[in-house]
Parts: sequence; C-alpha cells; structure tokens
Amino acid sequence: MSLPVVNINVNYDSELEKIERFLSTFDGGASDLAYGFADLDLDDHEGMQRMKNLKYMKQLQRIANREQQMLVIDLEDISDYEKTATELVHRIRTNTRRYVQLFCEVVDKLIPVPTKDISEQDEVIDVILHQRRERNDRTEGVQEGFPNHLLRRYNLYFQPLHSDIASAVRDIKGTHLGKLISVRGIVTRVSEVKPLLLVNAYTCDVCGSETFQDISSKQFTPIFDCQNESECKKNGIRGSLHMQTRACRFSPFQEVKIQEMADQVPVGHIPRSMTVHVNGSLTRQMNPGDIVQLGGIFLPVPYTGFQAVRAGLLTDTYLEVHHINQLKKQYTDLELTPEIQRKLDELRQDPALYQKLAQSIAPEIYGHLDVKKALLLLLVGGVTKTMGDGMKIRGDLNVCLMGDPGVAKSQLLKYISKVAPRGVYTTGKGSSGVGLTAAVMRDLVTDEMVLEGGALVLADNGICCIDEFDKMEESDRTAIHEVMEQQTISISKAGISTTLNARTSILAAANPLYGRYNPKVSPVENINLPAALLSRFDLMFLILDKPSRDEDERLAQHVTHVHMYNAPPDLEYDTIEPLLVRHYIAGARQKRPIVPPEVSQYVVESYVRLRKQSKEEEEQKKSHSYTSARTLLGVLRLAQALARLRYSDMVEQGDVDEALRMMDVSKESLYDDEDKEKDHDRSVVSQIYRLIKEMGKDRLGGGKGSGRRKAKRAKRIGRGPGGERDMDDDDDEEEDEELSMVDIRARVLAAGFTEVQLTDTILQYENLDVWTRVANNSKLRFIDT
Amino acid sequence: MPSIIRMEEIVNPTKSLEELFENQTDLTDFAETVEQHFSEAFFEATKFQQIPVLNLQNPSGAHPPRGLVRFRGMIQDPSTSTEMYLLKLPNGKLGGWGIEHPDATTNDEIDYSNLRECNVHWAVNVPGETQWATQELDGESTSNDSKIQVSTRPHKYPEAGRDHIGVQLKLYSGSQNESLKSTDIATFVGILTSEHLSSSEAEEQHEVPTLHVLFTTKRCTEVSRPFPVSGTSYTSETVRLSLLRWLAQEALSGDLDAAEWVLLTAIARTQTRHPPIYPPSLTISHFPPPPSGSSSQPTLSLALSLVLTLAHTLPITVDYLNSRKFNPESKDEDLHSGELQLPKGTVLVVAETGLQEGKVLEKGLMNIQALQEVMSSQTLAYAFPFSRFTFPTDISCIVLCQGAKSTFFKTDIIVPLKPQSTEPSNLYKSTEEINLPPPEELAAFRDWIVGARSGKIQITEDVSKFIQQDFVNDRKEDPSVTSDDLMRRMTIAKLYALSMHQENLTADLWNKAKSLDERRRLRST
Repeated sequence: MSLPVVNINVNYDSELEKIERFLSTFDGGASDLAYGFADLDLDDHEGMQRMKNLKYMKQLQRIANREQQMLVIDLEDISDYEKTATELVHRIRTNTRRYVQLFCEVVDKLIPVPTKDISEQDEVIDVILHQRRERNDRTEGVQEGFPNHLLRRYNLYFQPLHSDIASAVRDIKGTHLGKLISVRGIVTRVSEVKPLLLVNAYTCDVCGSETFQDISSKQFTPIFDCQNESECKKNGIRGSLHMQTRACRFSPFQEVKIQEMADQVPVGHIPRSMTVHVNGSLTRQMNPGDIVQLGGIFLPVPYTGFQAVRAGLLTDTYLEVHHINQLKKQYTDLELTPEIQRKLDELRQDPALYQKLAQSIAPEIYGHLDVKKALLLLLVGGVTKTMGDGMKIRGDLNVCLMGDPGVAKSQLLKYISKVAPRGVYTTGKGSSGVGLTAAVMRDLVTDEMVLEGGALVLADNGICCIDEFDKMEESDRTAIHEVMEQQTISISKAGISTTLNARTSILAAANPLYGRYNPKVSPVENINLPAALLSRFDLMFLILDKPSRDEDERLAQHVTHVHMYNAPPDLEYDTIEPLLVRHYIAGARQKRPIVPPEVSQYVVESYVRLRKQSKEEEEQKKSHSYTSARTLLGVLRLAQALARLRYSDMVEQGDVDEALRMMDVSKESLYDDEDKEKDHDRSVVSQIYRLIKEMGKDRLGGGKGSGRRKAKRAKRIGRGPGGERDMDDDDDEEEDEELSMVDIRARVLAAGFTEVQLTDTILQYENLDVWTRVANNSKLRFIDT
Repeated sequence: MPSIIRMEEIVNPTKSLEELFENQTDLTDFAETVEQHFSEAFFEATKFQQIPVLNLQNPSGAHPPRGLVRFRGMIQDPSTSTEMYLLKLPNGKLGGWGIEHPDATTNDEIDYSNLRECNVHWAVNVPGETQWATQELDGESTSNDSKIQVSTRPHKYPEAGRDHIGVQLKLYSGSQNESLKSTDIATFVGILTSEHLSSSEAEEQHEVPTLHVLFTTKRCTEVSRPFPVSGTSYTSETVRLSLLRWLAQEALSGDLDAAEWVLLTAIARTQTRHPPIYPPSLTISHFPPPPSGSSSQPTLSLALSLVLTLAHTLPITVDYLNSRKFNPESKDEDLHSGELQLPKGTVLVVAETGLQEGKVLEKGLMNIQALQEVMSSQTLAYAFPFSRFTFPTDISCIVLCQGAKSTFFKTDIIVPLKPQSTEPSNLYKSTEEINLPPPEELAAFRDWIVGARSGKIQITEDVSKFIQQDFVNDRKEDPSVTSDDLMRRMTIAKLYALSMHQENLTADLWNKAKSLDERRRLRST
C-alpha cells in the first residue's frame, strides 16, 4: 500500500556524462541508413560522413536546422548501448521526469550549429529564437541570458522498452507515481488542442527589458513589477510589466480520457478511466474510439486553492504521454504464452482431436455431436480465394440449424458467438434501428453523419450468429443473400452510397413453420425459407425433439441433477478449455490447404455421383434438397476446413470423405427417423468395422503386389496427424493379416469415433469370430481372410 | 471503561483518529489499522446501534459536521478513479479522512513517500427498501426534521425524481474497496463532511455529502430471518395459508391460486448462474385496468412492500418507456443510473395495466429489451462509450397486464387472474384502505417470507428418481411435454417446498406443485 521511498544516491554529474556519451556516440546501425543518404544529398559537411550513423546526433542536427521537433529517446537503444537494462534504463524508468530534464540539459549542450541559415520561410518563433540566441552570445558573461528552455524548439520523449507489458487502468496504483508506465485502453474523450503556457514573457514599459517567468503548474500569479536589477530596481522605479504573447513559449496541449477495455475488467466490475495529458508533437494523434497503448509518466497534480484547503492536500493523478502506439481495431488478446504453446503442441498429437474439439463446443449441451462438428468446421472455415479478375470465392461456411423450440439452438449460437474472434449474436427480429445491415447515424461525439455497421458488418472476418432467422424482416433477408455469396453489403441511404465488406460466416437458427415441426407435412413445407436462401447454406441440420424413453430419462436426469446440486453433472468425456480452442482455431485458420490432383479427381467423382443420386431422388419425389454447383463448393470448403484442423497444407481423401459424410448427415436429418433406422449399415459399429477391414485390405495389397511404397503410403494416411510411431513399420510388414492396435486406434479416433465404440466393435466382431486379438491384445488378426 | 471510549469515538471521531495516528509508529498500513480499530470498537451490537444513522429521516444536514454516522447504501458508481492524499502532512499531523489542512500552500514541498491512495465511490440509499425494513435496520427514527436537501445529482439514483440520499464515499483501506461492485449493499461507518466532487470538471463545483469511511460492514444491511421458521405460535400451514388469504383478499380480488404464484415468485432468488437457475418471471394476465380517478398503483405492490424488504414498482406506460432510462449509462466518465440498477433480491412489479396506445420510440425499445433481458437471463447491460458491459442482477419480476399475455415481455409463467368480485377498484386500493392483519400476524408473515427467501432446498436421490420417472411417463402420454416443462416444474417444486418452509423436496410436495402448475395450465386454455 505504501509508496516506495526513493533513496537518491545517484551522482547526477556522472549521469550527465553517461547521457552525453550515449547521445554523442550511439550508432543507430543500418536501419537508419536511409537518413544518412538523405543527409549526404543535402550537403557534404566534413563531419557528415562520420555522423551518418550516429542516430541521435543526426537528429540533433535536424533539430538545429529546424527540420524536426520530436526527439524520441528509445530506451531499447540505451539498454543496447549500456548492455544492461538495470542501470541507467532502470533509473530513467523510475524517475522519468528528472531524466527528461537531464537529457534536455545534455541536448542543449550538444546541439550543433545549424547548417542552414535562418530565412524568411521560417516561422516567427524561430526568428525570435534566432535573435535570442544571437543576443545570448553577445551578452555572454555580462548579463544573465535567456533561460535554456526558452530556446528549446524540440520535445523530448522516451519510448518504453518493447518488453513492457501494458497494464490496465485499475492496476495503476500510487506506487507507479513518477515512473514510466505502459497502459492500454480505449480513447473515450478528446479535448480540443489548447496552447499551454510554458514561459511567460513580459516587457517593462519603463526600461524596456524583458522578464521571463517559468510556469510549471496550471495556475500562476503574474509578475507586475519590473525585476530588472540594472535599471528599474536600481533606480527604485516600479515599472509595470506587460505580457508579450509573441515572446512567450507555448506548447500544444490536449487532455484525453482513456477507459479500460472489456478484457481488462474483472467480471462484475465497472471499467475505470484515466486522465491523459498530451503535449507538443504528440497532440492530435488520438481519436475517440481508438484502442491505444500509451507509454508515459504517472504524475500527481496537487489540488489548488480552495479545494486544497477543504480536501486536505489531496491530489489528482494523470498520465503524461511519451509514446503512443495505436493498436489495430481488430486487436484480439490472443497472447500465445509458452504454456499455451505447449498445450497446443500436445493437442495436435492427440489422434482423437477432431472428436475432442467438437465435444468441447458448448459442453453443457447434451449430444448433437454432428452438429457440433459442423460448428467446429464453421469456426475454422475454408480458404477464401481472390481471383485475378477480382472475383472472389467464398471460404466462409454458412450453417443453419432448424428445429423445435427448446433444443438448445440458441445456446449453441451464443457459445459460438463468444468463442469466435469476432462473433456477433443477434436475433432476426433486430434489436433496434441498426439491425443487421448498416445504418446512417449521427455520431454523438463529433455530431456528424457516420455510417454505422450493423451486425453483419461488425462481424467482418468473424461469425454472425442470427437467431430466429425465420422471423427476419424481408429487407434484411435480401441483404443476407448478398452477404452469403458476395460477402459485401451495398448501402444507399441518406445520400451515402457504398459497399461494405462483410466477410462473415453465417450461423442461423430458425424454427419450423407454425413453431413446431409437423411430421405430417413434408420437410420442405416445414422449413419456412426460400430455396435461394437455403442453397446458400453449406450445412443444414434439423434438430427434432422426439420423445424416446432413453433420451427422456437422460434428460430428466440431467435436469434433476442440476437442481439437486446447483451444478452441472460431470461430463463423461474431458473437454478442452475455450481459450485453448480459440488458440487452436486461430492457428488453424492461418493454414491455406490446397487440393492435390488425385483428391480433386475424387471430389469430381463424388460430385457426379451426388448429382446422379439427386436426380434419382427427384424422380422418386423424395428429394428435400437440391444438389448444385454450390454443393460442390461446399464439399471443398468443408474438406479444407478439415485439413486446416489437422494443421495440414494438403487436403486428403479422408477429409473429402468426412466432408461428404457431414453433407450426408445434414441431408439425412431432414428425413424421417424411420428411414434412418432401416439403414443398419450406418450404425457406428459397422462403420468402424469397415474402416478396420479397409486397413487390412490396404495392408494385404501392399504386402502382395505393388511393393512396399504403396503400403507405407496407405498407412501414413491412416495415421493422420499422429504419425510419430513409424518405428515398427518394417517389422510388421511380414505379418500381413495382423494389424497393430495402435494403428487401428489412431485411425478410428481420427475418423471421429470414440474409444468405447472401438472396443464395442472389436468385442462384437470377436464374438462373431471375424477376428481375434493376439500378442497381448496389441494386435488384431483377421480369422477368415 | 469501554463506554467512555465509545462515546468519545461517536462524539469526536476525528480526535480518536488523530490519537490513533500519534500512537502509531509504523505508517505502512495505517488505513488497515484504522479499519481494525474502529470495527473492534463497535463490535458489540449495542454500541453499533448507537452510531447515528444517515438516512432519509436523518439527512446529512441533521448531523453535526465531521460527526460519525453509519450509512446503509447501495454502490451506484465504483468507476471513479482513485485519489491521492498525504497521510502525514508537512507539519507532522495526520492527513486524509477529510481533515482540513489550515495552511495549505500548494507550493509546499510534498514528501511523496507519504502519499497514499483512496478509492472514491458513489453510493445511494438502498432503492426499493420498504419502510418496515428501514425501521428495523435503522431503529426507530428519533429526530424528524425531515428537511431533505435536494440532491444535486439526481441522475445517480435509479428512481428518477424520488427523494434520496447520495453520498460520495472515500474508502481508505485497500481491503474495503476491491470487493465492492455496482448494486452491492453494505453499511459504511465514517465521518460525514461536505466536499467537492472528486475529479469533476471545473464547471460543476458544488459540494456533495462525503463520507470518509472508517470501516465497512455487512452488518445491518439486510433483514434476515431463520429458515425453517421455528418457535412461533403459528404452525407452518396456518401462517402460509393466512398469508395467502390476506394477499388474495387485499390485492388479488380473492384469487388464492394467483396469490400462491405471487408468493412463489416473491421468494425466488438466483440459485446459480452456471448452469442458469434464475427466479421465474410471472405474468398475471387479465388484470383489470385501474378505474378512472383512482391511482394507477396496484394494491399488490403496496401489499408486497408490507411483507418484503426490497420491492419496487414500474408503472409501464408509453410515456414512461420513452422518457425513462432503464440501463445505467456512462456519460463523460460519470455513471448515470437506470431504473433497473436495483440491488440483488429486489421484487419488481411491472404494472402494464395503465398502458394506452402510443408510439414506442427507440429509447423505449431499448428499455423493453433491457427489462426482458433481466427477466430471461438476469443480466443488465451498462452502456459505456464504445462498449457495453453486462452485469448480473437478481430481480424477480411480476408483470401485471390486461390481456392474455404481456404486451412487451415474455415470462416463464402466465397466470390468468380469476377475480372473485368484479369491482376493479379493489385492486387499486391505497395504503390506508388495506386491512392490515394484527401486528403479530404481520410479523409472522414477514418472518415467513424473508425466511423462505434465504432457505436452501435439498433433493434426495429417491425423489430425483421419482421425478425422472414421472417425466418419462408424462412424455409417453403427451409428447408435447418438453424439457422446458420439466425445468419449470423443478423450479416451481423447489419454490413450493421453500414456501412451505420445508428443507427437503418430497414426492408429495412435487405432486402438489405439479397440480398447482396443472391448474394454471387449465386456466390458460
């Protein structure tokens, strides 16, 4: 709580020497070469060649030539120069105000003679300064000259170390007083730029001599009587003084308020704000709404006058800005710590990653694994391509969830909008005037008309979750058409006509017509959306709430458990924390997987098959959806997302298979349950069986025929991302009919099944004498091949 | 001689503060020492009760300058930035706690090592606190000059236009302020002065009552009653029944079922946020509009405020919606209050019955959305420049509407009112016209309700199995029963058990609660 007591046993004279040495000899290195060349062109002064790399001396020359106003001392430079960040750098950071003065003293001493003469193009103040300096030279020793800071025409700032971590406003405490600190926040208010008086100048109307007064606080008492020792005072005349605005020294000054950002405020607390003072050349660099990281000195300012009497020497605090770093608007606080990096690496090794990630989406919602997988792919997204002619192929996936009320659609949507980097949740009814598209609004701060993006524009490069999609207004729905394929929004309102980017994925939730799904009418009639809109969704799920004893029991159990213990029941599977999911997805989104020729051939075949199937279905009047070129693009997008999820640069056949399966599942959810149950082949156990059988076939083919290379390749594919266990490859090669359980598990888990399902399958088929486990259950042998 | 010390601390707290300072050699944690000293000095309830109270009956003008007061307040704005003060003045005396510095020359060399920081919050007297609760917590009001000063900052109180007390709090000890959030209620004991607003713009330099807090306590902030109730002459069933009868007779035109639903809603609190178990929101539909000439305040809100500790009424009209602000909003670093910035545990009566035709503007729509959000997710969004933050609330809502369902709001439960008499004026009686039960019975009502609010309910494995089986059977018979129905019934059954002052949910109570819900469903169809 207590503030630190600084023991000043610093020898400021030696500090001055150090600073002088640093400023006069620091070599900026190659990065400043550009400046050097510019100087060479300018003139070939003799010392120039040597000075070309002296970062600060060169700047001082520019200051002397009235070409530069800001002198930024980078603490990194000092730390490089001193080879340590503890000595001088540390003292600067803890006692910054003092060191600004020290640096200024040194700079005043070091400043070179201007190489450019004063001319009529220079500003009045410069001319006055020039005159003053000349007078200072003339009167040397005879009379007290002008105060040093009156002649300064630069602002000295310190730039904090790169390693400085920006704190939140609420973390700035009394212990930081006088120190150089970094703060991050959003600018909420900016005052006008006002002149701040630094030195007040007067002339005496009797003797004509100039008197100067340093101003260091907000308020000051003007001097009225002439202070000239040699004239008025000697003669006992009280000459009255008049203020000379032109001879005074002013500095631009701006007061700014910054507020904490949402991620810095502890849950349930209210964001705090801080007063920030900006001086000199740093003014006019911040606007309301900017997210900035500021480096500056935290200073107290004592209450003055009446307030001080009543309040008992309280002080206000403010930040004197030294460095402004504008952060990008879409700044995300995804900071990759070593620990997270380690966890991510671990995660990538997990063969059941796909399954696990999907389960971690809204873990409190029971079941719906395929829907969750679709949402996971939505988060990852496909690759957006821009063609040479400006045409764009959308990579973002669009998913629609449709279903009875009370099947947790809204919870899924809300979860996604929270996990996605730029997720926006909105309901189709539209909350206020702004709605889904953009609106023209009057800005409260600047009082000018601004274009305000609606939910879709705000979700640019993110995900827009729209609940109650069916209840959306017609005009908004039309805009959605454009967004979902072209990914732009066109506006012409109040004289402004423009196109805004809306590169967003759409996750929509809708209720069937008449509220509940009516099994007596066809799915198309239940789905209450036009076909043009439907075809734009890559995946569409119908989630129905049908009574079934098992499901009902499990649900009742869940609900009663929640009410018994006021806590959700423990999950049967472990989930990945949302932060990690977010990091994993952010990493995956950086990949740009391509489709190799052999896979593309496979995709083409699949598409042709799908078209044929669709035609057949149409003839049988069983079709509820329509296979078009959009379907093909959808398959590719899904496959790309799956490849991204593996952090792979290549789409593999397995990805396409899974993408097709997702499409299938999505389509199947539209059919009646009865149809589905007839299809025994679709059961999990038989799917796993087929998978393992295929592995066995690959092995067989490889062993007998076309040589080892092919066999190995097939196996690699099977392993997927967990391809580390290559060691025992060659040993297995002889025993053709045996498969390693490790391989099987990796393959099966990668395909999205669980351990339990795998064990089930193995046991069931073992009982049927199809295969048997050998070698201490580590291998599987087919009995009848 | 403990009584002398206590008197000294009440009469002249500044002096005892200074004495404490002089006896202290190590000043590192002086603020914490002060907090400890004073909270120990007033540890005994009798001593604590003797501290003068700052409330509406005894506003700041009724207290001597720099007098010790206790103030039960709701934190309205904790966002003000911290302030620095000199703990040790240049003349060696104690600074801070509003102690005046007689010769303040600003150019004095300040020893920065003596600077400490204090937090500045804005607190108001608890909105919605009912009269009897205030009396019980503050003791009988002694002096009654009732010269309420007009607050200079009316925008800081949720109920716009109401008399209230707003106080600038200065919290010196670090442990005091970290835990204080918006709408938290606490009792602050400190020295009352009048000071300028901290860190305000130069143009609004008026003085506001300022409390230099010595210590903060949770004591005397809430009326509490034991659960389950014990040792009264009333047996459980009779109190509940007579409470329902009284409520039905006086405020609901004799509708016992509706009174039961009101009771269940009034005792509901937020159980957990994850998973969400919130108090159910209730609509009483077909509620007759007020007859012309009589007040539009329904008797229900008056009756509830006789038995509840925190109750508030929103008379919804188009004008009201368009002109008031429901969400708190930060303007120029000053958090303006909104109608819904209410303390946790408030029962809110939303009276839509006075609604006439009109146009709801954007502000009104925002207000509707805000209230709906409170009902369905128990959160309230505060508007800040360039961002919105949502804060948890715990407000049970009872909507009264004329039609079959509320014009604006979606609630968990809708109960159509079945009035026994057709005279609508019965529903809009003024306070004087309410027939009060005998005082001891009224006290029993309060014990009953307040106790039930604090109760916790257990569900045994057996009952849980029973409920699961019951649900599965229901689904078999009627597929339209959904998990939402189960969740609602669970909540109702738990509240029903609470309203019976039972600690366990039994199969019997489950069936009773279910039949109550069933009766309601039949009424609606």
